[in-house]
Amino acid sequence: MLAAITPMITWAVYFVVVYAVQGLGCDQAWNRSLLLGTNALTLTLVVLTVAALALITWQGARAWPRRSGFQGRVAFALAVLAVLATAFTGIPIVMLEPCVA
Amino acid sequence: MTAADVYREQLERTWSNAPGWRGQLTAVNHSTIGLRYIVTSLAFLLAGGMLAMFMRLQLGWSDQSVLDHETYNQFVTMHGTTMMFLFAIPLLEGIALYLLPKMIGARDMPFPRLTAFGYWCYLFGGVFLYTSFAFDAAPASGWFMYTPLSSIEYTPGLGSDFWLLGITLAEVAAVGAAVEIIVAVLKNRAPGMAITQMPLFAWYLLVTAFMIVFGFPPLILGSVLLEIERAFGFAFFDPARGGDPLLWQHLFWLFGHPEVYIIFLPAAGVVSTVLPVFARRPIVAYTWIVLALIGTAFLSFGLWVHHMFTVGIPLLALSFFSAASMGVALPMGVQVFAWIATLWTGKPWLRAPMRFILGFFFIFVLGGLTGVMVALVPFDWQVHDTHFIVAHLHYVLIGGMLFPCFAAVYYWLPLLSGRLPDEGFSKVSFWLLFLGFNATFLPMHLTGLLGLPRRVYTYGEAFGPAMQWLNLVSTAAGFVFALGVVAFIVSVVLGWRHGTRAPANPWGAATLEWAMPTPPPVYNFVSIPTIASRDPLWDEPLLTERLAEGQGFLRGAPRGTREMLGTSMRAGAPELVVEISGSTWLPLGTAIALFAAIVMFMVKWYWVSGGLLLVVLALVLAWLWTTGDRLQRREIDADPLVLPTQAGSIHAPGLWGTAVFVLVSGTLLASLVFAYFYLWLDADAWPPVGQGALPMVLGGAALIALLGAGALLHWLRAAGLAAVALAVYLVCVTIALTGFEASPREHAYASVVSVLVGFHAVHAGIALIMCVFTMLRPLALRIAALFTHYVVGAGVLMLAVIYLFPAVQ
Amino acid sequence: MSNYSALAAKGPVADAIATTWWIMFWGASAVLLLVMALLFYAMYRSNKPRLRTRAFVFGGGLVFPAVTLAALLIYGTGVGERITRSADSPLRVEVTGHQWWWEVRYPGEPAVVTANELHVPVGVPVELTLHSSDVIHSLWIPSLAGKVDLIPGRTNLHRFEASEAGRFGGQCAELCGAQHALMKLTIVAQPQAEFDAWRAARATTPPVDVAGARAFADAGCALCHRVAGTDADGTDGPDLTHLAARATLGADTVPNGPEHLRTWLASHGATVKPDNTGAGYALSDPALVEALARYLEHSR
Repeated sequence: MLAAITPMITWAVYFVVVYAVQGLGCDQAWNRSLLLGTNALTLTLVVLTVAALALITWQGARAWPRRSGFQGRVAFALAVLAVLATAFTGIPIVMLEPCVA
Repeated sequence: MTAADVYREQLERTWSNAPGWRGQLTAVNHSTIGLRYIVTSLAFLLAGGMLAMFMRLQLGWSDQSVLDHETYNQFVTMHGTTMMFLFAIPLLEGIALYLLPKMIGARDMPFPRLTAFGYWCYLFGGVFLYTSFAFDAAPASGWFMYTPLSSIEYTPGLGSDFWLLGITLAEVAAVGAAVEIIVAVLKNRAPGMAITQMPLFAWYLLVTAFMIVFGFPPLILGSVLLEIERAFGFAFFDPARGGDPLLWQHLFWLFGHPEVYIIFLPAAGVVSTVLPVFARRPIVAYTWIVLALIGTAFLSFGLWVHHMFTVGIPLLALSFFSAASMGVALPMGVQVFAWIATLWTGKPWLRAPMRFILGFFFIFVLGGLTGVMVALVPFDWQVHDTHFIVAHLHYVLIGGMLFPCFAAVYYWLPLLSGRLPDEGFSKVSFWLLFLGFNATFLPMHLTGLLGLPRRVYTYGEAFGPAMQWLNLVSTAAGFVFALGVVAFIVSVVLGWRHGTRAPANPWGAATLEWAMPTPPPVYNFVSIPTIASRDPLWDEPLLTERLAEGQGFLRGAPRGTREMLGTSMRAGAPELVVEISGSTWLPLGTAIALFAAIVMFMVKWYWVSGGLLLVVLALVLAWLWTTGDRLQRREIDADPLVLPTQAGSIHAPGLWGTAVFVLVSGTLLASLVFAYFYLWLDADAWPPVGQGALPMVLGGAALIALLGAGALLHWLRAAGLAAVALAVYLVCVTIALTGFEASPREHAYASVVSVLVGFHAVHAGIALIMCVFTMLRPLALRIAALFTHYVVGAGVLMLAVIYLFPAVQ
Repeated sequence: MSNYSALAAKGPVADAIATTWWIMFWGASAVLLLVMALLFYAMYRSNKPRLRTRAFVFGGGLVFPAVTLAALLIYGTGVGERITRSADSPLRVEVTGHQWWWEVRYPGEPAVVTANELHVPVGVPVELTLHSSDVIHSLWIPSLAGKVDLIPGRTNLHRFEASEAGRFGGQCAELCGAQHALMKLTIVAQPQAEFDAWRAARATTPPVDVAGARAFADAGCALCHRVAGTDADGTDGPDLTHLAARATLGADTVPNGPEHLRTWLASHGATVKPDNTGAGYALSDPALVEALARYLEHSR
């Protein structure tokens, strides 16, 4: 059963991590240091998002052959949902300055 | 006398509550308690509704004086509190407790005493909260109790204490119910009912129960911290002493947003149960609905900050929560479209329950759409804390919860009473409710946009005539809605007493609760069915008769004990015979002692309160002592299988229940650790200047003692030695706290560290008692070991947070 | 429409949000209509075409909302970004929330302190610095901007701009105790020159009536209130310098005028704003009320 919900667990971990990194990064002024044409904080968040998307996609792809069974189908569908939720989170990361209140 | 008569006679004798008043006070049966929850919660609905009507009168026109400011603030607080904590959650608990065993083919919940104990806690907590009116000390800081308004400085009376203590007591009931639901769904289904075949309602309840396990502890913790701050002058939320008022908001909404889904999901489960029956076909996309449920549960924990869009958090952080709020609309969309597809491909017919489901669709979808709007950060900056939100949340909660619940009452009335609801009367109540509701709350979207904030007891003519007229419409329609509630209750009572006799399974349902006579006997099933499909009654039309004749597991009650089956988590293969408790005074006695301890705490008689807690402990030990086998397991002939009893088994409900309780406690600990780091983030130094650390040596000694306890139990199974090690640990911790060179009254650092240590010490104390208990009851070893290992792990984490973190930060 | 309406936007921030609202309103109405149409079709139509359920649930429940919500999220994030973008040289004003009134301070030399009245020049970006002295409040000016909370121990920023002159309603939006409902303020947007004149006038010390100032101090008023040019320098209550020039009393509860001023003094506001803080300073002596009223009316 736990296998079926891994994509959502990945999303949850990703969500907590980006929220914490955002808070910590603003506290430590990572957004002031430039890195690869953008600020270090945004870059970190983008990398985290891409990593999460890749991980969830992999988890979904692994479930695809098992989609005839109940668990495989739930795992795959949850991966779809988790990818969408992660991508949604990614939108503001690329659009916004990280620390403006 | 046929064999079936013998079975029934045995079961009646074994399962019935004791006669008279004594029987009512000692009852533990899930049907009795479930109904009691439902009736009590409806009483609170009426109380909370009355408060709302007074508020509507006051707001009916500008500058009214129906209520003065103080009374209005009390009413607004008590209305929200009542509806959320004393009506919505308990009503769903009641429906769940009443129906779940019947739907999964069980005779009761696995922990009947906990069922009863939970009910008493809820009742006492709710009544306690309402007695605050008698002392003119009703809480008035809003149902969300924001600090510092609710803190001792700005609310010096007992108002906040009534709230914090009463609601925490009521929450004990919800957590207890969650533990039971999880264990029942996973371990007490009918044989053969694979987890992929169980009724969707069981899925909804399972997911909801897990959400309670992770969602309620943050608020319980917050309430405890605030009460400690109020009673003993600790600092958690006071910025002058290193605290932070936003910590409260985080803890509150970490609970508060999942709470909305905790209320909504069981009601959606009703929709997924009732709708296919009236579409006369199995639900479309069962798997997708399960996935939507699980997805909702996860995403709903990523929404809490959307109640805090205006507190000054960076826009990007807000946007994470905005994105998750958008994300949660996706699984909702899946459910709505699956429901429509079910109707589309079925042959729908319209009766009272289905009418309320249709009403639910309109109201809930509208509320969901405004929910998407307020999830958008900039728009929320305008409408946050305005009547727009009042409108939105009533659309979601009344549409998403009340309408399905009323549908549920009509739908299951024939099961409860053997009589049908009156179609004409139900139609009247539906239209009063539906039209009254929309005319009350639709205008509030506009009054909010026109500038009316929430929780104001008055508004001036400066807001213009549109504001006055819209509010007048809301008030007038509010009374139509109230009339609808009365009509609903009258129609249900009339149907119950005088309705036409219902045939067996009157709606043609597929689920097991209809495979029994109506009204249902206390033992539910004469014998336990074997299930092979998702829609047992559709696929096996003669099931009801076969069960009544005893063609199933555990027919009758030849041994005179209350027996049910324990089955495997996935496939539902029979594993155990679970012997459960009959009527007993213990739940009521324990609840009374606990309640008395809380009252004594509030009036600051701390010694009396402590003494009463010892009484609670003694009663709990008596409770545990009288549960299950003590020394040896037995084999029971469950025909066609011979199965062992539960005690000591790896499949025992008690062990699984303990595991769920560990999750609850772990979430409490996690919330506390979150509080620690949250306070650290704002501090200049940690420990702050002028505050010392805990003595290092004792930390080391405590760690060794703790690890020792775990090792002794794991490798040597030496419960006695483990108890000694735990005692040593407690001594170390006590000495460490007395040598703490920091004052919890001066700074949040010392406060949070003291509470961390204290929280863990209580757990270590419980583990110690369990270890001693195990020496007398060897079969309890597995449970004691599970809990002790958790305590060891939690202790290591706690010591690392306290000792290691400040060194490495 | 009243000057409290979020839909009668009088500045770019409120305007952007109002536009967002109308977009979402029409979009949501369309979705609601569509879902209801599908529901009633499914419920009441007897000869329905066969439904490909999987495509229906997947397409309607997941793909359609995912696409529309992503678009909405992108749009909304853009709006949020524009609203929070800080201007180059905004007018900075410090606003402090008190139970149940607003302290307004214009920093600079000389600083101007007033209460419950926020003057801003038209067409100039404003950045409010928000503090609280007691509990959590929230400043909401519907026709100019959204709301931002005032939280003890924290500093928040609130940015907006008025694009036309006028008087706009502002109010507390977070339950803050007994008189949360009567914690309002007026925002006066005026042309730059008029604003400058107002500010200059407020920066002067009005002529002081010595006898009045003594009565003021003797009655205990000076413990909480400040009047420029006198020894009265309390900070717990509103600064009463230039009180007569303000339009309202009691955080926008009643209009400022001879009669209201006297009733206010007699009960320290308790008759119009029950449980108002400082109720212990009600004045039972009509002569003293009259003397203090004249003293304060003098201060414009």
